Amino acid sequence: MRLRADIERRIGTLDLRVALDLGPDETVALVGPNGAGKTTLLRVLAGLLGVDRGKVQLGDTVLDAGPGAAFVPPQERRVGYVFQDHLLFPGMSVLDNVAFGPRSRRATRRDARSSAQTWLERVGLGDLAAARPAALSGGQAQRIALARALAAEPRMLLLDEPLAAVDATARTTLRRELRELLAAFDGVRVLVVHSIDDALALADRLLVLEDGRIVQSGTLPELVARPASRYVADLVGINGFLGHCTAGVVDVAGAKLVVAHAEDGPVHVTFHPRAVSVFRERPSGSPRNVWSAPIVSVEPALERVRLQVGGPLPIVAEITPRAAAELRLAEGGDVWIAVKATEIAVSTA
Amino acid sequence: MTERSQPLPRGVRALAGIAAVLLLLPLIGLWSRAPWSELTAQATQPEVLDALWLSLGCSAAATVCTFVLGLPLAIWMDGPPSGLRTAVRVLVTLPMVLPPVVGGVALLFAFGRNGLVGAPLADWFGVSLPFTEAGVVLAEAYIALPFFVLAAEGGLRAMDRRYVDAAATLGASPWRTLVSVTLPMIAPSLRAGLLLAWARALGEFGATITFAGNLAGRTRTMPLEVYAALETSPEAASVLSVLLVLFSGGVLFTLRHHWFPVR
Repeated sequence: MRLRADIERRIGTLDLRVALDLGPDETVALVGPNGAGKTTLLRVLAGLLGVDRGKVQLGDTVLDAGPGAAFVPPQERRVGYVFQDHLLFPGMSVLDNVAFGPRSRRATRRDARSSAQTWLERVGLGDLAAARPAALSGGQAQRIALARALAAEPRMLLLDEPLAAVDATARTTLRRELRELLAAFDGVRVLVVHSIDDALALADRLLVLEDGRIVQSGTLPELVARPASRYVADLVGINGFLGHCTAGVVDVAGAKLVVAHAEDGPVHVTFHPRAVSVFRERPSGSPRNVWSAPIVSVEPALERVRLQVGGPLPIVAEITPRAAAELRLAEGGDVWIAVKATEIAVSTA
Repeated sequence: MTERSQPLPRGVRALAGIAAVLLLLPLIGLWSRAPWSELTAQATQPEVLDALWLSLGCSAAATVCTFVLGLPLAIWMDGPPSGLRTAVRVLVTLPMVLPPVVGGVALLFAFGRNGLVGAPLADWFGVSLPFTEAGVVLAEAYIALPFFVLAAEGGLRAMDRRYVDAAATLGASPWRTLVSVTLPMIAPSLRAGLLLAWARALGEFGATITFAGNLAGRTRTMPLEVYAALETSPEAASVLSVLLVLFSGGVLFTLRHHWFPVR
């Protein structure tokens, strides 16, 4: 069952305008900065918000055709929604939470409970049936929220940051389980994620939402190869800019980068943070791209240090902690940045 | 970890003490004058027992009315703000701030034998509310309603609305969501509202005596009995008062976690 949607919805300062065409055979990860409209989009798909204009269609059923036209309320949509903080009903046992969907569809208490028990076992928590939601860990609660959504036999599954409330150790396990459960689900799957690792592990395709618009859609390698925005470049961990190439020099908002690229016209330039050299004094020697920039932040990242600089070309550099200490980066001030022309990847935009 | 509080401004402690004494003195007065040896004898006199049962029955009935009518009102008031909702909120709060006697007079003009609704009720159905037990229930429900509605609405307002969304995405009808998700979640507020409404109905005096009169064994509830007893036998009045103080104190004690949140 395909989801086809053409959505226009204003809420507060957000102006959401999104067109979607999602197949039942793919898991789509929705990424984007806070306030981009990810949760709003999920709420529109679930029927918790209506569209101002446009159409939402699942298979042959029109779910929402705008104010005054066809609208299927959420309780009749059969769209499973797993909320960020799981929202298990606090007064009910885990089993009754999972049985809530079947019970709402007029299953007998007995049938609803046996189906709930089956779902609990599928998420590996059959022995927690009698527990209260307050007694669960973040990971357990999230798995039970997923079981509860699946037990209601949805035709489409929406997950809002399923890994947000989970600590790092439980994350890997939960991610693997989520992947298996998502793969077993036959229908459109959309999930909001915050980290690129989660997107990579769970989704076939990424949709990048910024300011209510989809700025990019594609697989992770496609995004890395050609990030459409500063946000995407940050997300996938490389420096990327949109510029204009003239005779081997790319103009990025006034800053000039010398590149090994012959074709003139609009281009994407990307270079890895590790390809950036950092100095306190102006370096002499071969690099053609040398400029001075103020330090914005210095953060440890695994066995390296991630340095962010400002100026006309805000970039990220990764250097060793030893180099960071020798350069006394913690003291702030300006540094000299050098990037070899051959390290800069250029592709026609 | 102990928290160190800031010292209080000068004079606050003394004034607070005076306020506390002001609240305590009447209780001490009542306590010292109550004929403790005759307590059981006085409390089991037929007219006292009549008043007691009438009070309990009418206040319970008024509380049920308050719940049945007040809950839908609270749910409606919890909707998106509008001019109509503001007007209704004023209307709901009015019996709380109005002198109860005025409420009784207003009820008389509406439901009295010649009242707006009372006249057709009497003519068409032969139903007359003033000076009956039903009249007591109506007067008490009118005065007690705001206490329940405002408590229930406060509970709804404080509740995380996304639980309702979650129930809807699981296929629950609005009725099912209300009964199995919303009401259990606001149960503490509903309990508090019901207890408050009951206590207020039990203590109701002004609207009751104005609208339902003071007929012994029929509309003379405990507070009215206290008032009547004060003229003939002050001892009996003090016994009844002690009983009411004990009851009200008991309600507050039961509700202490609601009123006095532990910091």
